[in-house]
Amino acid sequence: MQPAPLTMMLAFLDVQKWRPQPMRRQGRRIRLFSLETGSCEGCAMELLSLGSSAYPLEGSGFQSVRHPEDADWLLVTGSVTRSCAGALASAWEAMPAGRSLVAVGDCAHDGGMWKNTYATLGGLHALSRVYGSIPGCPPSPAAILQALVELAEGGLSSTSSQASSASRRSRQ
Amino acid sequence: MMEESALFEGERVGLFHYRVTAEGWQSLLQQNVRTMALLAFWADEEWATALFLLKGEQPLLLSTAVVQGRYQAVSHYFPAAQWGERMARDLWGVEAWSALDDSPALDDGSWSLTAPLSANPLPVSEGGGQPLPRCRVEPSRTSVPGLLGIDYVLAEGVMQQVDVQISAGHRGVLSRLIGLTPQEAMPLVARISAGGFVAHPLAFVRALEQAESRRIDPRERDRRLILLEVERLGLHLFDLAQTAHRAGAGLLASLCDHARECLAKRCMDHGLSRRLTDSISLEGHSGVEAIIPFAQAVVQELSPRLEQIKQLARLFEGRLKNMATVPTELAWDYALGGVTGRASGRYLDMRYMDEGVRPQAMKSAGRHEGDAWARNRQRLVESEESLRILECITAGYGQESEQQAVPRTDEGLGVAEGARGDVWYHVVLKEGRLASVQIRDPLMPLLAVLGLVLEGQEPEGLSLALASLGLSPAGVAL
Repeated sequence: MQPAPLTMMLAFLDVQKWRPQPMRRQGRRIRLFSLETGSCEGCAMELLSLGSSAYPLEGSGFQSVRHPEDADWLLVTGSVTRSCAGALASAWEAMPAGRSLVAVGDCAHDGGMWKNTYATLGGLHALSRVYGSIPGCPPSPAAILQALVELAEGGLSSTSSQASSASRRSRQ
Repeated sequence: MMEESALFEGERVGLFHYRVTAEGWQSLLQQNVRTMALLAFWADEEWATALFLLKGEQPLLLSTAVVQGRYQAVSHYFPAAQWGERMARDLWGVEAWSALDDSPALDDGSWSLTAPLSANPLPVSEGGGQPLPRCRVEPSRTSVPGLLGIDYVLAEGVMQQVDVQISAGHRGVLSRLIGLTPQEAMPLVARISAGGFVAHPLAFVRALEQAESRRIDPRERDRRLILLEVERLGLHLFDLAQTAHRAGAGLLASLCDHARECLAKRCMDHGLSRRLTDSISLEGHSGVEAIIPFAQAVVQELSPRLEQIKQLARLFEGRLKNMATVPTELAWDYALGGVTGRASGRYLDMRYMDEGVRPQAMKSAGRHEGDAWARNRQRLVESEESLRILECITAGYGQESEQQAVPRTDEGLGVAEGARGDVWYHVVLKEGRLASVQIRDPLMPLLAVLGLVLEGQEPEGLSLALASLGLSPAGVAL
């Protein structure tokens, strides 16, 4: 077994070596608040991965925040269960002016496989105007980041890849 | 030995399934509290069913008729049944006599129907139903990826009277599945829980194969086993990373995160989805044809990374000692599976029951300490074990194994040992469609003890405790 300082140093060097290059973009830092609303949890897990050092979220001009009061964008995962509608509304109301709503994954967009039932409302599409939608089941962290950058720069999706396209819908 | 006289008086309706009278039901429950482990309980409008594990890991399904919407509670004898009883009441409107807990588990007053799976569901009037009490930690604010509400009383700086809620995540999975053909159901089953993109559909497919008396090709059997181990590696890395994040071990978390993303890349490089979603097939074409190069690439990629993670993990593991301890007795009484069970002295692994299992690669012993430290140690040991299993399968891919022929009964019970424990499916087919589906996710028994496990912990340690338990409520909330 290696001595502890050597183990730490080698791990540190490896993490540095693997650290991905940020995606440069213009404009101010955008603060993100994530809200799960009922799903298999795949998209929420991918958002956690996006926030890890394996992806350059912060370096690309985004910051995860813990409270909606501090957020510019609300990232929603899940098909919006009826039970979660209140939490979604509260988070949205708590956000400061200039806020935007982004559906992450197919469920959040239109319910995916969980359409309008006794328990679910079937995604954001039917409920509200959505600034952006990131398709995928689940979308990869890289695809989510790419889409966030595209949305931040205000450009329409220009790629044909489903995984990397962000379809801008309407601006609030 | 279990008391079998009441069983012999019952009617055998499936391979492992007996129906007994109300008297037989009560007598079996009463007399076998110490000899059977209750894995799951469910009930619909017709039958109340308990799934037990007998000696030698033999499953036993025991049913009794639900009469006028009522049956004798199982939780009175086996407390682990309480969540199943509460869910049956919410979904089918059937009640358990002398139940340990009869509060709603899923119906939090937000649904548009009452007892939605019953023959006559009632529309909820304007204004909604009775809401559940609010939690101190709202479901969407807990640190787990899914929806898990935690309520507690703070006494002398620690949590007491801890209660958990999962209702916010209920999507109506069973209502969607019933009536579908197995083929139509597959994409839904593949998305029940990200904690089992492989394990859930695999248990489902195995249940169907038993119901239809279908045999599978040994190569298909091995492809599935490979996918199951790769999923295990990915989820263990996820849980290790989340635990490390919460313990303030950022460097260790980074190593685990990077390893998991490399694993995802290998999956994509070989034509699979990143997290193996939709990789299990009903027709016997799971994964990809070139599965051996894939398994070899995974072993090659992860072996050195795991070694490094193991070394670094030792430096941080002091922070996990005595955190969220699950006592051995609790693990046995509630049949806790997976890493949580095996780190608490319940050394049970349903992979040993799999056809084509490579027992020579499965030599890791469990632990007994039951705390977050033991669970992390167990994850690391089992990850190494997964790599050995992959090597064994690639060395003897597609070897014939003994298969027991079973008669077609249109009823099947399937199990897959996922990363977080044993996933069970019970299916009943009628004219090629799913007449009944019941799902037992490994979180189910853990929910029943979660309050006890968290009691006495400081609220500041809640995130770390939950991460170390690898909780994924989606598979139970359904």
